[in-house]
Amino acid sequence: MRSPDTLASSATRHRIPPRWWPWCSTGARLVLAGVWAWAGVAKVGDPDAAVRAVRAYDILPETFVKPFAWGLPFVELALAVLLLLGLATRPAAWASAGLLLVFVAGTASVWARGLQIDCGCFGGGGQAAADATRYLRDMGRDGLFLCLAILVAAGAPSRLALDNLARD
Amino acid sequence: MWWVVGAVIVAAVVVGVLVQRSRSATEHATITHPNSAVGPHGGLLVGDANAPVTITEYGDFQCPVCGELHQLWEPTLEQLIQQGKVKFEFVGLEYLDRGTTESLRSASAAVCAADAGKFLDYYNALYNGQSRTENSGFLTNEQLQNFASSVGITDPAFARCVNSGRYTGWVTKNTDAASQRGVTGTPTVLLNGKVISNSVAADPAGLTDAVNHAAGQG
Repeated sequence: MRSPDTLASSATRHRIPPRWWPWCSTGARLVLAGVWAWAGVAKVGDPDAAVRAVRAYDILPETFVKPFAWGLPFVELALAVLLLLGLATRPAAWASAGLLLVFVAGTASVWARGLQIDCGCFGGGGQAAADATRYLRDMGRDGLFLCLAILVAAGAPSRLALDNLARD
Repeated sequence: MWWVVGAVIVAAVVVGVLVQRSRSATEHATITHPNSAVGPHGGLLVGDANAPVTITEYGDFQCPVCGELHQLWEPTLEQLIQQGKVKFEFVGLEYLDRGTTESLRSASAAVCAADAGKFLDYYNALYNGQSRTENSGFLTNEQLQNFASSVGITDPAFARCVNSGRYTGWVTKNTDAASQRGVTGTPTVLLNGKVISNSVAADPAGLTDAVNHAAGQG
């Protein structure tokens, strides 16, 4: 049986060195910026398809479908720019987390109601064949992005960020 | 810094709505209503107007499942139309266009064919000659003209109709209306206004039974 001292030193050996945390946060921030940029660019090209994709979720009243479908890609692109520049990083990361939670909840709702749709997360959307729905995969992917957002929002301040200029 | 993100998000939504509204084909569609669009869902209608049963297909000429369904149900459908049991309504949609206008232009061309009195032949030709891949660039205006020639449409008015995009606005509006009605994909088949599964539609016996039942003969 190992002594508590041995356990502590073992745990210490496997811990990420504190000086790496800002770089982990930086990596997560840039990955998240890339995800938002990808999602926004994929959706912005076809405003009518975006409207149909949002309608397919059958959640929002018709009055809000178009503002949501048309505003969402621009919000995603705005978050991408903020995260890429490292400007208002923590609020942008919390906003990202909130938006990702909305996506996870929307997918769960569609799944629970037995609808068969493509999430339209990166363009496209609308109906999917029964064997082509990927709700678990979509929710898992958004969950992963959510973890990255929380890491950026609540973790160490990231490097290569405009926020650091204000701090200095 | 929360105000920065809040302001950016509000600005993004406002800019997004303004920009996308100006780019939306649905918002700016100029509609030329086709004479043959007298179906209960605004689609093209084929067959005896007094037939007791209406079968409606929401279809997209690029949609591979629509093509498969067409292969399976076409003989039965045509027989039911000829027997006067069924009138067939087709609502062409542009759901599968991704950076192209192939679904839009082919659905519009089908209306041009209806103007020439050859809708059903042209509809069959488009599905039978479907490309294996969507948005491949296959459905050029020239190809749409070739399909027309293959079914005996010789009137130059067809080419003018296709090239001018006379019915594209109508197809765009129909696509939006279908989406609002809850049609999220193609093919969606309705029998007297009620959705039936594609497996029933694709089964000759199942489709005939469903039609007879709806006509009160089942």
